[in-house]
Amino acid sequence: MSEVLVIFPSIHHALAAEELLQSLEYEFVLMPVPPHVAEGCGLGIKIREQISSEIITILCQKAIQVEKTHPLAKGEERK
Amino acid sequence: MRYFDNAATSWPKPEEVYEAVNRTLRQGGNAGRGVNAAALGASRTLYSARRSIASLFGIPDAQQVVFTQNVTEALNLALYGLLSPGDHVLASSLEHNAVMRPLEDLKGRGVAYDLIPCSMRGELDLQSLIRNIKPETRLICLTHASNVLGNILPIQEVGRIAREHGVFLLVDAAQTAGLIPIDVQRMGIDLLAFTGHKGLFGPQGTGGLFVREGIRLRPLIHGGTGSHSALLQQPENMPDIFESGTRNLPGIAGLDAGVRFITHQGLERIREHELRLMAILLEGLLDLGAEVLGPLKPEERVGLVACNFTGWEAGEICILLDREYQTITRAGLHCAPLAHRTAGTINSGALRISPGFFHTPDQVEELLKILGQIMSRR
Repeated sequence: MSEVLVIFPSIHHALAAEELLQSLEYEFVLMPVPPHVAEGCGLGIKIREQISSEIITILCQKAIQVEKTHPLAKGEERK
Repeated sequence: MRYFDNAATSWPKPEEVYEAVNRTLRQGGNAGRGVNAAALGASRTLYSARRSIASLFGIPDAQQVVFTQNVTEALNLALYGLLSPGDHVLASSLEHNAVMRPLEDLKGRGVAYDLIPCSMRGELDLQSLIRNIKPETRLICLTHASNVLGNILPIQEVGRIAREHGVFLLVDAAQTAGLIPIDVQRMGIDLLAFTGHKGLFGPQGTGGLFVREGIRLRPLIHGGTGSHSALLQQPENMPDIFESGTRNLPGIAGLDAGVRFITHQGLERIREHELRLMAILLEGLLDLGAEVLGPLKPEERVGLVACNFTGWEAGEICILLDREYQTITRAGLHCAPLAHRTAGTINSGALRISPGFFHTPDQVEELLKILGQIMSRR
């Protein structure tokens, strides 16, 4: 199953996204952004690739800034 | 202890504030520093407080709220962050030294300022404000209420003038946040500096600045933010750009609890209570022969009264109240020499009495009785 890490410019946005996705009952995991990605606030949200564009649209609609999305290679989060 | 110095710092705090500080201090964790449970808990504390503040002040996006250690730091961030050599600022003749000292320093760096006169009772000369706007005027900096005269300034009207002339408006809400409704959008406020430890019921060491989206300020402090750690340069996103170093998390948790208390009580109810106490205090002081600074109508003021009694030094009364009656007030110039000059009390200073939300009318009557006893000594 392909996964994507949504990366935010600040923790504030990551937590706003967490709150929103929880309220909408999406499945996601809060996780650290791997250091080699060297982007964002250090806190990302891992989601299934299948629903990533849907989630990005929802976040944009709620003015929650996304810095970038990063496709997670298998085992990458443990690097 | 009878505490009538809420304009300096509010006391007591709601019970929830003490509990929040205690709980947060015991939890550990540093906001933005890692994604362990403790760090995330700390980040959520900041997030929650930012949301509470944003909601109270009508701020559409909570990320535009920056936490500082007090209103003075917030004002410094706004003034030093915004102004450059060649810029011009308009302020009032009621400003606190938290504004005047940065402006004086900035004057030495090529930023000019003019003071708009206020009447002895504190009314701002709006026509003079308009007349003094120049092409190089970048900012109007105005206190929402004087910490000496107690009068409320017409922020919404000034906000409209600022908009019409393409000038930013910075408001010092030290004496009004948590006591008078503030809506940054409706009032046309571009930068709102507030303190946490007065009307918002937070602990000392808390405060903040709202920065309207699109306004670029230079940060006062650079350093670690927990974000964009591979970058050697300061990140540019809000609020991280202005929040280098560890925030006062227990304090901010207490501030959040204070703001929630206000929201729960309702600003209207808080203001009604304040007006009731002020009506009793003003009438009682005038009956005792006090020369009251600022407007005489309670609805034109915040919850403080500075006054003088003929034949008495303000400091003498303050000390007598403290030593003999365990009653806390404040005498002197209250860090606002300009306001005292405006009121004609630059040489005498004044005795300032500021009740708080937890006072009852009977406690204000009791204070007036004590003052009557002191006055009868001469």
